[in-house]
Amino acid sequence: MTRPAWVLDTGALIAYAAGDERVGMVLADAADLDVRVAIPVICLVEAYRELDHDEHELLGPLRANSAVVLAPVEVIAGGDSAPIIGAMARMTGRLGAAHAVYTAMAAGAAVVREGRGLLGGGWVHRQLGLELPILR
Amino acid sequence: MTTRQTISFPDDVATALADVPSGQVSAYVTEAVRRRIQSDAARVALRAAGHREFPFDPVASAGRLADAAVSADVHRAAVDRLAAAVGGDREDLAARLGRSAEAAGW
Repeated sequence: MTRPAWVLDTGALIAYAAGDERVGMVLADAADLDVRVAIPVICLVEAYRELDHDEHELLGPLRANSAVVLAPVEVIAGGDSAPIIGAMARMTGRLGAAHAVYTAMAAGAAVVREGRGLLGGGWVHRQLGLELPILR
Repeated sequence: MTTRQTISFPDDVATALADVPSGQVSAYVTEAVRRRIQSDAARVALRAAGHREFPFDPVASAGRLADAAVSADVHRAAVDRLAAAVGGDREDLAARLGRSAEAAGW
């Protein structure tokens, strides 16, 4: 499987459910180029938490998209991502954002976030000092 | 199971197909059609979720993908900064990231 080119954070998932054009375009691009888009599992759970119950079904077609792959929290020997994700979340206050950044760094991918989003205030740059590409 | 069909192509496509070894033309066309089916299916799902229509434009898509690409230098610097931010060893972090990608099949 090819490495994902983009990672959708919690805000991007919520934006997708609202028909956000930028997120839709990322998914159309991924389908046209036969590349993958990763959804960190923690972001998916956070999105379900933020969406109303009757909006949950909107994420179904996204999860069924053949370009989309779910990124778990790996707890394998020598590749345990939980301590790093937890440490980032301690600094930023959001588990999903930390998982999105970890996934992007594992994949060498850009993060797609919703503009007003749950990553909040540019913490990826400000607090972690990371210059990862972020599509807002 | 396969079906034999006779189809017509514009000249530019026919020229491109002429460069494909004769025994591989069907596979070449099949792959192209399957990729288009994948694109169309993605758009059906997007419309179902209330998204607008996105034109099929692989050249523009490739440009946006290139704009989002993470260079090796940027990635290396990000690993350095993240290791410093979380108080971890840089090589240990790089190894964890690599194993996570490997476990995910990337």
